[in-house]
Amino acid sequence: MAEERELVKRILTGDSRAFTEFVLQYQRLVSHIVFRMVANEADREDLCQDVFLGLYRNLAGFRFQSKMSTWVARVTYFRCLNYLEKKKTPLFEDICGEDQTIADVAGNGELPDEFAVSQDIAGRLREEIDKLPVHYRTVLTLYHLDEMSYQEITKITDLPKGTVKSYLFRARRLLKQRLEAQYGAEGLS
Amino acid sequence: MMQHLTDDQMQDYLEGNPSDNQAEIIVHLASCRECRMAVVQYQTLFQGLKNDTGFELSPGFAVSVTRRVAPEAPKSSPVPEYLLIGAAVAAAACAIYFLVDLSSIFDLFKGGFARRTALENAVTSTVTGVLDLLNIKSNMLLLSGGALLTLGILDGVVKSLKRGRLYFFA
Ligand SMILES: [Zn+2]
Repeated sequence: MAEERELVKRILTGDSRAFTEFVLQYQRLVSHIVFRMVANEADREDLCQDVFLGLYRNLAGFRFQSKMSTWVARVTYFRCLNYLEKKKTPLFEDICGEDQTIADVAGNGELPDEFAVSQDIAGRLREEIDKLPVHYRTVLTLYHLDEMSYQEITKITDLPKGTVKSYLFRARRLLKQRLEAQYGAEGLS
Repeated sequence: MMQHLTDDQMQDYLEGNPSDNQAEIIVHLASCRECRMAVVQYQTLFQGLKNDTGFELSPGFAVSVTRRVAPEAPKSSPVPEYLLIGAAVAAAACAIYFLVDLSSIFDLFKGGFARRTALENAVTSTVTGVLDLLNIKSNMLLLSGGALLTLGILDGVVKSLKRGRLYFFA
């Protein structure tokens, strides 16, 4: 926290190198959220830039009442929502087969002994994540990639804790079902 | 023996969320291969989600954002330009007033109108009144003009330093 305060102080006095440090520190988090929420590759980097410009402009108003990462993620999340609304992107796409059980999808019930994440599966996983509704993708990213707690995700998205949990659980169940449908019967090692 | 674990139970188990029947779950997992396999699959999925890649921004991203927020030449100087121009004009006016003797012009002005009407009289007295006032305040004017001029020069120096070159000594 003390380091963050020092960095913010330096940025506010016009130290541009301090701002570069700030960007380097948070660009991973910002890109995770932007890339997950925005499908259009051409707009992603511009949006990341926009987010940082917004953060820069509002930095003087940040009172350290939350973690800096929570604030950065929150600004990013709402900037992306705003973008999606402007592009009229549906936030809750219809999910087909959500209520299928593992057995339905896996067919004969023969499950592979190993389920290692090969390059192939990693690519496939990414494709499947992209098919999920935007809120599912977002909570998955915040929880797994950025290792945020439910409480932090709630602060970032304004979604109730129960909703965050149900999105997360449904998203994982869907991913597991879809990957099983793809690889299950072949028994990948 | 309890029923197979639900998906939610498996995920709670992997997230480490406390459950009322934690002991039962563990006992069941030890004895049920099907549930054990499903948990392993979830575990692999967790791993895959944690190690997801493909979020790379262009290499110079941080630098290019910084350039956008802090352009090399600052847009606004600490002293507005019109103030600097005003200071220069004021300083020049003061200098002229002090260096050139204007009394002869005033005398000419006064002498040229031997027969003045009351209105002319009033106008002339007002003009001389203003000039008297100017004379009293002229030292103040000169001082403030000089101060503004100094500010202007200092601003120039700071600007040059910010650009990394001191033009005055270049
Ligand atoms: Zn079982």
